[in-house]
Amino acid sequence: MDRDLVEQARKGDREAFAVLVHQVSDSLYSVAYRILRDTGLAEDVLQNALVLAWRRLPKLRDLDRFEAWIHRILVHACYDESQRTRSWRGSVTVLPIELAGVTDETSQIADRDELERAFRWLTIEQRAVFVLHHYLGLPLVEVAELLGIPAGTVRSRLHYATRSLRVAIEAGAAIPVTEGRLA
Amino acid sequence: MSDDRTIERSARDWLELGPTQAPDHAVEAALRTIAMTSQERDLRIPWRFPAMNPLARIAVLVTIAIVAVGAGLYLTRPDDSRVGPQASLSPTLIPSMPAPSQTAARLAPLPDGTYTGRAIKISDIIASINATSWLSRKDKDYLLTAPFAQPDKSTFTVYFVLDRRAYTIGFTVDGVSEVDSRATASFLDGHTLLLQENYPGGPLQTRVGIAVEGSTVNLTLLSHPTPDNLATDRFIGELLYGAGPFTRRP
Repeated sequence: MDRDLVEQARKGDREAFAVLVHQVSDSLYSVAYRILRDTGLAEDVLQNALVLAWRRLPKLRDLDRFEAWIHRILVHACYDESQRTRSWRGSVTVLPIELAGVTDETSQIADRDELERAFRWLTIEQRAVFVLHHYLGLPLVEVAELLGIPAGTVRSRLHYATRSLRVAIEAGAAIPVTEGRLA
Repeated sequence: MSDDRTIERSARDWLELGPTQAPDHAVEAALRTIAMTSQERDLRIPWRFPAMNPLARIAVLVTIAIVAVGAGLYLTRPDDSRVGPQASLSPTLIPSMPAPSQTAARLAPLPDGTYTGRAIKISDIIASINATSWLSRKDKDYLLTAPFAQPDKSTFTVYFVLDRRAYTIGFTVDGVSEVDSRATASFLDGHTLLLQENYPGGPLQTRVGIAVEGSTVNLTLLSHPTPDNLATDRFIGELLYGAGPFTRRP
């Protein structure tokens, strides 16, 4: 990320910020989609995050942390969006999948469907940690820094996310697992 | 697909699926909104930066005001610490006092609360900017971009929330908070404060005189907070000090 561009944008240069937007928007959108699992919501969140980042940019202290900073804004925008659209989580239709006798390709599709359904049972905070770690490939410490939470919390959320996915898949995506219920 | 490692591996593969490019229409819509959106002001206290904007200058002066108010409250508190140790006092406050500045720094348990200056009409501020003869046209244009000169707003008020030597400061325009910041201070003597800010270039020091009048405090800037002594700084300083006296509200 070009530090000079960030500095110019911080001083109010919209053209500089537009360049930054084009550099980060693909990553932001990809993360938002994977957290929210909805292209329309991801677009809304992307737009909100970009506008909010522009407004708050003068308060950015460490220009070298721009990319992490704007991803943090995006994740919080995802949190806000999930609160507004909380009902979608409960509206997931659970469809039974018959796995016996299917081909490998069909089995893979079935696995994806299982994951899709199971993922929707995760809390938004668990999803964020899961995506940042497994999709962006950020180490847990960097996820913690990006989200502004303790590394132990990140580790815990990731642990419960993984176990929740496993339990939900085994149960046919019918049973959500909340943090603290598992040993 | 049952153990955690298999789940993670499958989930990573699954996460790779899906869109990886932001739709152009979404990005363009955001940029159109940004074109009509102002940035929030940063009122940190970088008074060593000559290109500091009016809002940053306000932060400098608000910080000084807060320190001075705190000093005033300190000076008006019951003087029990000067007659001997109290059971409730910290061991650091017993009479074997070290140097005055160190003493003052320790003796700053000021009452917590919200402190508010008087409300100032923004229309009056704008009129004052335009009528001040020692401001150049460029200075006036500069000041008229500040939040205290927004023609569609009506009232400007300085406020702060004090928690001993740490405090959050800010101001409101029509009751809406614009920013906040933090600072610390110590007493040089009974009438002078030393304000210290830590910045990458080193600690910044400014002295402020205080005058208590009943339950309120007025301030005097003894050393200018900015090295360049700009006319705009002077105007903002006078505006800020004119926002007093400051009164504590629990």
